[in-house]
Amino acid sequence: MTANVLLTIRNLRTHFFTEEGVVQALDGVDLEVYEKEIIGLVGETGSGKSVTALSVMRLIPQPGFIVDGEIIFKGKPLHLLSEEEMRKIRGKEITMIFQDPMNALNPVFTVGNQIAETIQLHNDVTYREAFNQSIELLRRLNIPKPERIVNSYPHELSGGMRQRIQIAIGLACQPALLIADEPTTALDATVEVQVLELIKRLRDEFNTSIMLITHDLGVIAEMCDRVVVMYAGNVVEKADVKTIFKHPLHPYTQALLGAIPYAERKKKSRLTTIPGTVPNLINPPSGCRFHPRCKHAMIVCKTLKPMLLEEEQGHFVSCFLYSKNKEFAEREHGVFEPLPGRIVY
Amino acid sequence: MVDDSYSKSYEDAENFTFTVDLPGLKSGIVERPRLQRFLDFLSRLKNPLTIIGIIIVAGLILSAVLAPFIAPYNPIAVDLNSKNLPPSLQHPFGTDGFGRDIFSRILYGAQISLFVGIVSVLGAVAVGVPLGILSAYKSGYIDTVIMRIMDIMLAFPSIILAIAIAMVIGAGIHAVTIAILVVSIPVYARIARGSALAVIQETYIEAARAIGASGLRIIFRHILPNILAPLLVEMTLDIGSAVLSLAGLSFLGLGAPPPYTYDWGRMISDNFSYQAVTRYWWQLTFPGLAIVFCVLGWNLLGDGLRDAMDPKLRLKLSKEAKKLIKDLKKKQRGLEKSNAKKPVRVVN
Amino acid sequence: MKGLYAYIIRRLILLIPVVLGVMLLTFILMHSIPGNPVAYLGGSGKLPPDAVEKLIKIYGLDQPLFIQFFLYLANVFQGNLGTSISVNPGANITDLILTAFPHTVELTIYSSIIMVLVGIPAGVISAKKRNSLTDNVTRVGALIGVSMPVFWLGIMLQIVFGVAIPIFPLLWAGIHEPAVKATGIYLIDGFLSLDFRTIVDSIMHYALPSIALGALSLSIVTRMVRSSMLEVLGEDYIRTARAKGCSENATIYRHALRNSLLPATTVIGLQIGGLLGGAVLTETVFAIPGVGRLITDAILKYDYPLVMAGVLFIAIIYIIANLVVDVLYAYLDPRIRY
Repeated sequence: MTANVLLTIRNLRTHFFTEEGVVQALDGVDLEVYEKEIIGLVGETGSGKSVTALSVMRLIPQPGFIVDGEIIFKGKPLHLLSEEEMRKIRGKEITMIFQDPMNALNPVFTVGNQIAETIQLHNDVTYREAFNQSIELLRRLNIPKPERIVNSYPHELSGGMRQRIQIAIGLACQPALLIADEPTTALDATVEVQVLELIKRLRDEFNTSIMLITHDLGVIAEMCDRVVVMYAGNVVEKADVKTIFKHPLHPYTQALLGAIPYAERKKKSRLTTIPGTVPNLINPPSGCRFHPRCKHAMIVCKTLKPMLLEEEQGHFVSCFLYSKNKEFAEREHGVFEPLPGRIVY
Repeated sequence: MVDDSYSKSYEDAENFTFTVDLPGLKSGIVERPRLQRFLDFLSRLKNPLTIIGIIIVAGLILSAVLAPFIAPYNPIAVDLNSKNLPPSLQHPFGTDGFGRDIFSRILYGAQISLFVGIVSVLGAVAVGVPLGILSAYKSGYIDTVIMRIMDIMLAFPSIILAIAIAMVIGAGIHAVTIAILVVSIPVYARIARGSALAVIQETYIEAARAIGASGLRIIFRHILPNILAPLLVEMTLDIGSAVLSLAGLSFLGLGAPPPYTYDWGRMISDNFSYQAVTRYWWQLTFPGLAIVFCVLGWNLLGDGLRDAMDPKLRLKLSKEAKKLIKDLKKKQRGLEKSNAKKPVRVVN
Repeated sequence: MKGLYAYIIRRLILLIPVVLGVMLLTFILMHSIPGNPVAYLGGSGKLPPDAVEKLIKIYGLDQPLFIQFFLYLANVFQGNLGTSISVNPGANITDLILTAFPHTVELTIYSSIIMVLVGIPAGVISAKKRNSLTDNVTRVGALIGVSMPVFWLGIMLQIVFGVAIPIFPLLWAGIHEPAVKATGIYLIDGFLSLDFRTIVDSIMHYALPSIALGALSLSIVTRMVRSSMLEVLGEDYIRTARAKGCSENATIYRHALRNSLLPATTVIGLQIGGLLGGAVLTETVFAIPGVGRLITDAILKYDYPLVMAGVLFIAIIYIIANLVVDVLYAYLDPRIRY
């Protein structure tokens, strides 16, 4: 891909320091977002998709902290910025919209007021101008009767409309990156399609990169250019969308794809489930975090953590089944087929 | 291929699952055995304020029980030779206008506060909770009538209603107790009704009904245990406010008649005069402090119980984590500073 | 706006059964008292027996109870609460209460100002700096505040700021009489007659009583605002506000404050009623001739009609205050459809 990198995340570790113990929500996440692309983050609940997004926004809730790693956005190290510098980026260059459109809008202000607020926060305009701009923005998003909508309160609007308003708030300052955290999970199927259409159109109209977080592989297939598969705080596979669906490498991705019901699926192939549950992240499994549920698990998987290495052109995978990691394990540790028993590191 | 010894240890680990789901780790679920949960509950009571509350309440009970043995003087014996004495070694809290030792009187006064507080709250629970459950269980016009009556009672500021009731029954400890009891009935009726309504809608109540459990059985087996926790918290807090109400009523002259003149509120009321305010401050200060400590103790205990029972407040940071966070913040601040000096690093 | 008026009218109609119930309750309480006021006077030997019988007829005390209740209702609606027996024998109770009421109102106004102007900011700051020293001090202070008897705090304030460090007058008496006496409330009358001395006097003389009376409500409001603020700060729209680039202050004061004040409004309304109840005690300590003091006097002198009239009066004020709060709540929260 020749496009420029917009956002790079390197070895990001975000931990939550709770009374029960340290929750290692992110354990070295590596990914990059290119300009004008839609990148999908997919994984089960608790895999760290939302934490990754919130880490980029630097909005991790209280007991959580970025303990290690780098987040570079347009050359700026976000993880090092002061709160004030970060504030200027939020809403202007990177915005985020959330899953639940019911609670994501402030119930006591009209939606016009809330869109205008974002415009005013980052531009030197009067409230009137900002308010008129928000009507314009809604019109650009093909929202019917924007003059009436802006004067409504969130509770007077439907779920789909509230989600569109959230998108409008997100786009008010024409950001370079829009992070959408499960934007359609709470919506009806028909409304979901409309909202997704809208998001897709935005990339072309506003030249915005979109990071789409979802656990719905159908949405990913429909929307994304590239996919990042996450499991228990790690990126396990990363490739463009066609490769992932046609030729998944990581056993987790394979299992995940096996778990979606396909209409055109061959009759004989069964719908499979992934045995076990998402691991407890206070005491995560050693080595590869997926190994307790993996049907190809080897002894090395319990002792060593595979790295995210490029197996094919643009196709990264973190698994000892593939040559690069195999070579790496042999070269660096000299242990690919270790004797039975625990190897302490 | 898979080594069995390893998978076993993971089974153990999976006995409690921790799901992190933002925002705010709200749905972080920790499943644990019952005994463990009870121990957790006790350990959550271990915050310093709650412990102070427990100590105060324990002290209160001790002083009420042991007053006849530990009080240095008779609380009602008049000694005109030693009246209006300031605090000293003989009389730690001084003496009043009749030469009675204020310290001894305060120790005895704990009996009255404890009696009125506990009896009025238990009474209010005994009347209010059945009313509330009945109201929720029967619904229809019984519900309407009961809740309207409660609304009317709540339409009075509680002290005013208590005054009116105490006045009707006539002054005395029992009158005051009943007045406070009656005033707090609506609170319990509402709590019981609200919790019972929530429980009744649960499927398992319908299941119980379907297998033919009687109404009383459903109430005792299923509804009562479920409203116990909010009830206990409210009761603890209410003992404190009952003591405050008692003090107010006593101050107005509706409280304990002689010989129970060592009631704390009555002591303030009896001693309250221009002279006392200008010269004998201890006669007014110490009985009041006794009331403050007593009420504070019950409030601290009640707050502690509520926090310990409220799963939302569980995500408190451990000491270790606090230290870690402090270090991290320091590190980050250091990085921010050095970052401010250096030109921004450009990647790509 | 039209909806709002309809809502107010609907609420007023709903009040009728509650007010009737309150009156029935006071009526029952009054009649549960052994003996009756006329017998009380007769028993004291002030009246000959035939006069007592005549009075019983006049007051309808020989009628069945429910007829007596309707007579009582009719009287109350005509503004006739009966006559005082022993506090001010023969005086019209309505007049007594209306003369005393402005002083109670003035005291309540000052206390409400303290409650709102200190309680809300204290709660907000405490929540904003959660678990800091400021927060802990505020929390413990508020906890002590809810544990203190109102009258005792009044006495302590007298001892400390009236006797030990004599800044404020010990008792209420001695406010300079203003030229204009339109309301009976010194502060307002002082402004109306541009009498600076009355204004200062009013503030000085009401300082200690209103602090004593306001402390409890202040603590309750602080606790309430703190906890509702903390709850609101965990809401999704707060995260949205941060994601927009709002500063911490904008997030708290623009997005969280108004939402967290909604539940606090109810508590503040209830507390204004609670202040009226507490006034009974505070007015006694500071010798303020308000409604509370009137009721206390009536209790001490067994003036039953006056006690019940006072109770009824305060209950109705309380009900009205709650109605005002509910309307205000509906006005502040766009989600409530009236």
